[in-house]
Amino acid sequence: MLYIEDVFFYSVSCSTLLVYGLGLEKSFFESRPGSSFLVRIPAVALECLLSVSLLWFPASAVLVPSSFACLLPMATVAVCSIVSLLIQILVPSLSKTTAGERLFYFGTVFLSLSEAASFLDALCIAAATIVSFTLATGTLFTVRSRLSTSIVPADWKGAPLVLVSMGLLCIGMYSADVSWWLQEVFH
Amino acid sequence: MKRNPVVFLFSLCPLIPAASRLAYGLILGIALLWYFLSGLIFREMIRKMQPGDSGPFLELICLAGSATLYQTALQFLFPVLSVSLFLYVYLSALSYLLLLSIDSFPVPAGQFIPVVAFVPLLILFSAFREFMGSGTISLPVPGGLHEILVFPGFSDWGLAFWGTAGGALILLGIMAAIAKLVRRRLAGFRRNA
Repeated sequence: MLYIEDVFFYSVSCSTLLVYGLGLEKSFFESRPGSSFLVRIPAVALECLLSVSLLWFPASAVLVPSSFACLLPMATVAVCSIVSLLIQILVPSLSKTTAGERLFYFGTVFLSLSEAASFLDALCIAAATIVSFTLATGTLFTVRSRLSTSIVPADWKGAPLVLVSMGLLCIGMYSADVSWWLQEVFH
Repeated sequence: MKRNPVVFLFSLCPLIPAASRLAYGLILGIALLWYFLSGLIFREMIRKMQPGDSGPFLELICLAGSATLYQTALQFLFPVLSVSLFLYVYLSALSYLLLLSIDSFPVPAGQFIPVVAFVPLLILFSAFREFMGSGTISLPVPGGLHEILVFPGFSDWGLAFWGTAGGALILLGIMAAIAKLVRRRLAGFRRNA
Protein backbone atom coordinates (compact mmCIF):
# COMPACT_ATOMS: atom_id res chain seq x y z
CA MET A 1 0.00 0.00 0.00
CA LEU A 2 2.88 2.34 0.81
CA TYR A 3 4.30 1.98 -2.70
CA ILE A 4 0.89 2.52 -4.33
CA GLU A 5 0.54 5.68 -2.26
CA ASP A 6 4.02 6.72 -3.40
CA VAL A 7 3.16 6.25 -7.08
CA PHE A 8 -0.13 8.10 -6.62
CA PHE A 9 1.56 10.95 -4.74
CA TYR A 10 4.29 11.54 -7.34
CA SER A 11 2.04 11.02 -10.36
CA VAL A 12 -1.09 12.94 -9.35
CA SER A 13 -1.28 14.97 -6.15
CA CYS A 14 2.37 16.05 -6.20
CA SER A 15 2.83 15.49 -9.94
CA THR A 16 6.53 15.44 -10.82
CA LEU A 17 5.58 17.05 -14.12
CA LEU A 18 3.64 20.00 -12.76
CA VAL A 19 5.06 20.43 -9.27
CA TYR A 20 8.72 19.57 -9.95
CA GLY A 21 8.61 20.70 -13.59
CA LEU A 22 10.20 17.50 -14.92
CA GLY A 23 9.29 17.12 -18.61
CA LEU A 24 7.01 20.18 -18.65
CA GLU A 25 8.48 21.62 -21.86
CA LYS A 26 8.59 18.15 -23.43
CA SER A 27 4.92 17.70 -22.53
CA PHE A 28 4.05 20.94 -24.35
CA PHE A 29 5.80 19.91 -27.56
CA GLU A 30 4.66 16.27 -27.42
CA SER A 31 1.00 17.18 -26.91
CA ARG A 32 0.68 18.78 -30.35
CA PRO A 33 -1.94 17.17 -32.63
CA GLY A 34 -0.35 14.37 -34.64
CA SER A 35 2.30 13.67 -32.01
CA SER A 36 3.21 10.07 -31.27
CA PHE A 37 4.54 10.54 -27.73
CA LEU A 38 3.13 7.18 -26.57
CA VAL A 39 5.58 5.32 -28.85
CA ARG A 40 8.54 6.75 -26.91
CA ILE A 41 7.13 6.03 -23.44
CA PRO A 42 8.33 2.36 -23.18
CA ALA A 43 11.88 3.35 -24.18
CA VAL A 44 12.02 6.23 -21.70
CA ALA A 45 10.54 4.03 -18.96
CA LEU A 46 13.09 1.31 -19.68
CA GLU A 47 15.97 3.83 -19.62
CA CYS A 48 14.80 5.40 -16.37
CA LEU A 49 14.16 2.14 -14.48
CA LEU A 50 17.41 0.57 -15.69
CA SER A 51 19.46 3.65 -14.76
CA VAL A 52 17.86 3.87 -11.30
CA SER A 53 18.56 0.14 -10.75
CA LEU A 54 22.20 0.50 -11.80
CA LEU A 55 22.79 3.63 -9.73
CA TRP A 56 20.90 2.90 -6.53
CA PHE A 57 23.32 0.44 -4.92
CA PRO A 58 26.60 2.24 -5.81
CA ALA A 59 25.01 5.49 -4.61
CA SER A 60 23.55 4.18 -1.36
CA ALA A 61 26.39 1.80 -0.47
CA VAL A 62 29.46 3.72 -1.68
CA LEU A 63 28.91 7.38 -2.58
CA VAL A 64 26.66 8.50 0.28
CA PRO A 65 28.34 6.59 3.19
CA SER A 66 31.83 7.72 2.13
CA SER A 67 30.78 11.40 1.85
CA PHE A 68 31.04 11.45 -1.93
CA ALA A 69 27.38 12.29 -2.49
CA CYS A 70 28.52 15.33 -4.49
CA LEU A 71 29.58 12.94 -7.26
CA LEU A 72 26.01 11.66 -7.66
CA PRO A 73 24.92 14.17 -10.38
CA MET A 74 27.96 13.35 -12.52
CA ALA A 75 27.49 9.62 -11.93
CA THR A 76 23.81 10.01 -12.89
CA VAL A 77 24.64 11.74 -16.19
CA ALA A 78 27.40 9.21 -16.98
CA VAL A 79 25.30 6.11 -16.23
CA CYS A 80 22.21 7.55 -17.98
CA SER A 81 24.31 8.30 -21.08
CA ILE A 82 25.74 4.76 -21.11
CA VAL A 83 22.29 3.19 -20.66
CA SER A 84 20.91 5.41 -23.43
CA LEU A 85 23.75 4.37 -25.76
CA LEU A 86 23.23 0.70 -24.91
CA ILE A 87 19.53 0.93 -25.73
CA GLN A 88 20.37 2.72 -28.99
CA ILE A 89 22.72 -0.14 -29.94
CA LEU A 90 20.39 -2.95 -28.85
CA VAL A 91 17.11 -1.43 -30.10
CA PRO A 92 17.98 1.00 -32.95
CA SER A 93 14.29 1.70 -33.62
CA LEU A 94 14.07 3.46 -30.23
CA SER A 95 17.17 5.63 -30.76
CA LYS A 96 15.54 8.99 -31.57
CA THR A 97 16.29 11.12 -28.48
CA THR A 98 15.57 14.85 -28.21
CA ALA A 99 17.15 17.44 -25.88
CA GLY A 100 13.88 17.83 -23.93
CA GLU A 101 13.70 14.09 -23.40
CA ARG A 102 17.28 13.99 -22.11
CA LEU A 103 16.45 16.57 -19.43
CA PHE A 104 13.34 14.61 -18.48
CA TYR A 105 15.30 11.35 -18.33
CA PHE A 106 18.26 12.67 -16.28
CA GLY A 107 15.91 14.62 -14.03
CA THR A 108 13.73 11.59 -13.34
CA VAL A 109 16.70 9.43 -12.38
CA PHE A 110 18.23 12.16 -10.22
CA LEU A 111 14.92 12.88 -8.45
CA SER A 112 14.38 9.15 -7.79
CA LEU A 113 17.84 8.78 -6.27
CA SER A 114 17.59 11.98 -4.23
CA GLU A 115 14.13 11.51 -2.72
CA ALA A 116 13.80 7.75 -2.26
CA ALA A 117 14.35 5.97 1.04
CA SER A 118 14.76 2.50 -0.48
CA PHE A 119 15.42 0.82 -3.82
CA LEU A 120 11.73 0.00 -4.40
CA ASP A 121 10.84 3.54 -3.44
CA ALA A 122 13.26 4.86 -6.09
CA LEU A 123 11.70 2.62 -8.76
CA CYS A 124 8.22 3.81 -7.68
CA ILE A 125 9.22 7.48 -8.05
CA ALA A 126 10.70 6.81 -11.51
CA ALA A 127 7.56 4.92 -12.57
CA ALA A 128 5.33 7.66 -11.12
CA THR A 129 7.19 10.30 -13.13
CA ILE A 130 6.49 8.39 -16.34
CA VAL A 131 2.83 7.96 -15.32
CA SER A 132 2.59 11.67 -14.49
CA PHE A 133 4.07 12.63 -17.86
CA THR A 134 1.78 10.24 -19.80
CA LEU A 135 -1.30 11.37 -17.90
CA ALA A 136 -0.67 15.10 -18.33
CA THR A 137 0.53 14.86 -21.95
CA GLY A 138 -2.48 12.71 -22.88
CA THR A 139 -4.84 15.24 -21.27
CA LEU A 140 -3.09 18.16 -22.98
CA PHE A 141 -3.18 16.30 -26.28
CA THR A 142 -6.98 16.04 -25.94
CA VAL A 143 -7.26 19.70 -24.93
CA ARG A 144 -5.19 20.81 -27.93
CA SER A 145 -7.15 18.59 -30.32
CA ARG A 146 -10.36 20.25 -29.11
CA LEU A 147 -8.77 23.70 -29.35
CA SER A 148 -7.64 23.14 -32.92
CA THR A 149 -11.27 22.83 -34.01
CA SER A 150 -12.57 25.63 -31.75
CA ILE A 151 -12.91 29.31 -32.54
CA VAL A 152 -10.66 31.19 -30.10
CA PRO A 153 -9.34 34.79 -30.22
CA ALA A 154 -6.14 35.02 -32.31
CA ASP A 155 -4.05 36.24 -29.37
CA TRP A 156 -4.99 33.24 -27.25
CA LYS A 157 -4.30 30.63 -29.93
CA GLY A 158 -1.36 28.28 -29.37
CA ALA A 159 0.99 28.70 -26.41
CA PRO A 160 -1.13 31.09 -24.23
CA LEU A 161 -4.15 28.81 -24.07
CA VAL A 162 -2.00 25.69 -23.62
CA LEU A 163 -0.22 27.35 -20.68
CA VAL A 164 -3.55 28.26 -19.07
CA SER A 165 -4.72 24.66 -19.64
CA MET A 166 -1.53 23.39 -17.99
CA GLY A 167 -2.23 25.66 -14.99
CA LEU A 168 -5.79 24.36 -14.68
CA LEU A 169 -4.53 20.79 -15.00
CA CYS A 170 -2.06 21.49 -12.21
CA ILE A 171 -4.88 22.71 -9.93
CA GLY A 172 -7.00 19.70 -10.89
CA MET A 173 -4.25 17.22 -10.08
CA TYR A 174 -3.39 18.95 -6.83
CA SER A 175 -7.03 18.73 -5.72
CA ALA A 176 -6.48 14.98 -5.22
CA ASP A 177 -4.25 15.90 -2.29
CA VAL A 178 -7.06 17.59 -0.39
CA SER A 179 -9.91 15.29 -1.36
CA TRP A 180 -11.24 13.43 1.70
CA TRP A 181 -12.18 10.25 -0.20
CA LEU A 182 -8.64 9.64 -1.42
CA GLN A 183 -7.35 10.05 2.11
CA GLU A 184 -9.89 7.43 3.17
CA VAL A 185 -8.72 5.04 0.42
CA PHE A 186 -5.09 5.22 1.53
CA HIS A 187 -5.74 4.93 5.25
CA MET B 1 19.09 32.24 -33.51
CA LYS B 2 15.65 33.65 -34.20
CA ARG B 3 13.97 35.55 -31.38
CA ASN B 4 11.38 32.95 -30.54
CA PRO B 5 9.19 33.72 -27.47
CA VAL B 6 7.87 30.15 -27.32
CA VAL B 7 11.40 28.77 -26.69
CA PHE B 8 11.78 31.32 -23.88
CA LEU B 9 8.41 30.50 -22.34
CA PHE B 10 9.05 26.80 -22.29
CA SER B 11 12.57 27.13 -21.01
CA LEU B 12 10.96 28.89 -18.08
CA CYS B 13 8.58 25.96 -17.53
CA PRO B 14 10.99 23.57 -15.72
CA LEU B 15 11.99 26.42 -13.42
CA ILE B 16 8.41 27.50 -12.62
CA PRO B 17 8.12 25.49 -9.39
CA ALA B 18 11.41 26.96 -8.16
CA ALA B 19 11.17 30.56 -9.34
CA SER B 20 8.38 31.62 -7.00
CA ARG B 21 10.50 34.29 -5.29
CA LEU B 22 12.97 36.89 -6.48
CA ALA B 23 15.70 35.35 -4.29
CA TYR B 24 15.26 32.00 -6.03
CA GLY B 25 15.18 33.67 -9.44
CA LEU B 26 18.45 35.49 -8.68
CA ILE B 27 20.20 32.30 -7.56
CA LEU B 28 18.98 30.31 -10.57
CA GLY B 29 19.80 33.17 -12.95
CA ILE B 30 23.38 33.38 -11.68
CA ALA B 31 23.57 29.58 -11.87
CA LEU B 32 22.58 29.65 -15.55
CA LEU B 33 25.23 32.28 -16.34
CA TRP B 34 27.87 30.24 -14.47
CA TYR B 35 26.91 27.08 -16.37
CA PHE B 36 27.06 28.99 -19.64
CA LEU B 37 30.57 30.31 -18.98
CA SER B 38 31.89 27.01 -17.64
CA GLY B 39 30.12 25.16 -20.47
CA LEU B 40 31.98 27.25 -23.06
CA ILE B 41 35.32 26.40 -21.43
CA PHE B 42 34.44 22.70 -21.21
CA ARG B 43 33.29 22.67 -24.83
CA GLU B 44 36.64 24.02 -26.02
CA MET B 45 38.57 21.58 -23.81
CA ILE B 46 36.53 18.61 -25.06
CA ARG B 47 36.90 19.72 -28.70
CA LYS B 48 40.68 19.75 -28.26
CA MET B 49 40.52 16.17 -26.93
CA GLN B 50 38.58 15.09 -30.07
CA PRO B 51 36.45 12.44 -28.31
CA GLY B 52 34.16 11.87 -31.33
CA ASP B 53 30.56 10.79 -30.66
CA SER B 54 31.02 10.79 -26.88
CA GLY B 55 31.70 14.59 -26.89
CA PRO B 56 28.13 15.69 -26.03
CA PHE B 57 27.98 13.20 -23.12
CA LEU B 58 31.31 14.44 -21.76
CA GLU B 59 29.99 18.01 -22.00
CA LEU B 60 26.92 17.02 -19.96
CA ILE B 61 29.07 15.31 -17.30
CA CYS B 62 31.19 18.48 -17.07
CA LEU B 63 28.04 20.60 -16.75
CA ALA B 64 26.86 18.33 -13.91
CA GLY B 65 30.29 18.90 -12.35
CA SER B 66 29.96 22.69 -12.59
CA ALA B 67 26.47 22.36 -11.04
CA THR B 68 28.05 20.45 -8.13
CA LEU B 69 30.58 23.26 -7.68
CA TYR B 70 27.79 25.84 -7.72
CA GLN B 71 25.75 23.84 -5.19
CA THR B 72 28.82 23.61 -2.91
CA ALA B 73 29.30 27.40 -3.10
CA LEU B 74 25.58 27.86 -2.42
CA GLN B 75 25.77 25.59 0.65
CA PHE B 76 28.57 27.78 1.97
CA LEU B 77 26.94 31.16 1.21
CA PHE B 78 23.22 30.44 1.57
CA PRO B 79 22.83 27.12 3.42
CA VAL B 80 19.06 27.36 3.83
CA LEU B 81 18.34 28.23 0.19
CA SER B 82 20.72 25.53 -1.04
CA VAL B 83 18.37 22.95 0.49
CA SER B 84 15.25 24.47 -1.16
CA LEU B 85 16.87 24.75 -4.58
CA PHE B 86 18.94 21.54 -4.48
CA LEU B 87 17.11 19.77 -7.32
CA TYR B 88 16.72 22.83 -9.56
CA VAL B 89 20.40 23.77 -9.39
CA TYR B 90 21.13 20.46 -11.11
CA LEU B 91 18.11 20.47 -13.45
CA SER B 92 18.92 23.92 -14.81
CA ALA B 93 22.43 22.72 -15.74
CA LEU B 94 20.88 20.35 -18.28
CA SER B 95 18.33 22.77 -19.76
CA TYR B 96 17.75 22.89 -23.50
CA LEU B 97 18.25 26.66 -23.66
CA LEU B 98 21.65 26.40 -21.99
CA LEU B 99 22.88 23.65 -24.32
CA LEU B 100 21.58 25.63 -27.31
CA SER B 101 23.45 28.76 -26.13
CA ILE B 102 26.71 26.84 -25.63
CA ASP B 103 26.46 25.10 -29.01
CA SER B 104 25.58 28.26 -30.96
CA PHE B 105 28.35 30.43 -29.41
CA PRO B 106 29.84 32.69 -30.81
CA VAL B 107 26.67 34.15 -32.32
CA PRO B 108 26.82 36.36 -35.45
CA ALA B 109 26.67 40.15 -34.94
CA GLY B 110 23.14 41.45 -34.34
CA GLN B 111 21.90 38.24 -32.78
CA PHE B 112 21.69 37.42 -29.11
CA ILE B 113 22.78 34.60 -26.81
CA PRO B 114 19.54 32.87 -25.69
CA VAL B 115 20.57 32.19 -22.08
CA VAL B 116 21.84 35.77 -21.50
CA ALA B 117 18.51 37.15 -22.71
CA PHE B 118 16.61 34.54 -20.69
CA VAL B 119 18.18 35.35 -17.27
CA PRO B 120 16.57 38.85 -16.91
CA LEU B 121 13.22 37.32 -17.93
CA LEU B 122 13.56 34.65 -15.24
CA ILE B 123 14.46 37.24 -12.58
CA LEU B 124 11.64 39.61 -13.60
CA PHE B 125 9.09 36.79 -13.70
CA SER B 126 10.07 35.52 -10.25
CA ALA B 127 9.89 39.06 -8.83
CA PHE B 128 6.46 39.58 -10.41
CA ARG B 129 5.19 36.27 -9.03
CA GLU B 130 6.40 37.04 -5.54
CA PHE B 131 4.95 40.52 -5.67
CA MET B 132 1.60 39.22 -6.94
CA GLY B 133 1.53 36.34 -4.46
CA SER B 134 2.57 37.99 -1.22
CA GLY B 135 3.26 41.66 -1.93
CA THR B 136 6.91 41.23 -0.97
CA ILE B 137 10.32 41.24 -2.63
CA SER B 138 12.90 38.87 -1.17
CA LEU B 139 16.67 38.71 -1.31
CA PRO B 140 18.93 35.78 -0.44
CA VAL B 141 20.70 35.95 2.93
CA PRO B 142 22.68 33.24 4.79
CA GLY B 143 19.76 32.63 7.16
CA GLY B 144 17.25 32.13 4.33
CA LEU B 145 15.27 35.00 2.84
CA HIS B 146 15.22 38.70 3.60
CA GLU B 147 11.69 39.85 2.78
CA ILE B 148 10.89 43.47 1.99
CA LEU B 149 7.19 44.18 2.38
CA VAL B 150 6.00 46.37 -0.50
CA PHE B 151 2.21 46.01 -0.17
CA PRO B 152 0.88 44.72 3.15
CA GLY B 153 -2.10 42.36 3.16
CA PHE B 154 -1.49 40.77 -0.27
CA SER B 155 -1.17 37.28 1.21
CA ASP B 156 -4.46 37.74 3.10
CA TRP B 157 -6.43 38.62 -0.02
CA GLY B 158 -6.09 35.18 -1.55
CA LEU B 159 -3.53 36.24 -4.13
CA ALA B 160 -1.00 33.66 -2.92
CA PHE B 161 -2.36 31.45 -5.70
CA TRP B 162 -0.11 33.28 -8.21
CA GLY B 163 2.88 32.01 -6.30
CA THR B 164 1.96 28.36 -6.93
CA ALA B 165 2.98 26.33 -10.01
CA GLY B 166 -0.61 26.35 -11.35
CA GLY B 167 -0.94 30.10 -10.85
CA ALA B 168 2.42 30.73 -12.51
CA LEU B 169 1.44 28.73 -15.61
CA ILE B 170 -1.83 30.67 -15.92
CA LEU B 171 0.05 33.95 -15.38
CA LEU B 172 2.55 32.95 -18.07
CA GLY B 173 -0.33 32.17 -20.44
CA ILE B 174 -1.91 35.59 -19.82
CA MET B 175 1.47 37.29 -20.32
CA ALA B 176 2.01 35.36 -23.57
CA ALA B 177 -1.41 36.45 -24.85
CA ILE B 178 -0.69 40.09 -23.95
CA ALA B 179 2.71 39.86 -25.68
CA LYS B 180 1.02 38.47 -28.82
CA LEU B 181 -1.59 41.26 -28.74
CA VAL B 182 1.09 43.96 -28.37
CA ARG B 183 3.19 42.49 -31.19
CA ARG B 184 0.16 42.28 -33.47
CA ARG B 185 -0.86 45.87 -32.69
CA LEU B 186 2.70 47.13 -33.24
CA ALA B 187 2.94 45.30 -36.56
CA GLY B 188 -0.39 46.84 -37.63
CA PHE B 189 0.75 50.29 -36.52
CA ARG B 190 4.02 49.97 -38.50
CA ARG B 191 2.14 48.80 -41.60
CA ASN B 192 -0.19 51.81 -41.44
CA ALA B 193 2.56 54.31 -40.67
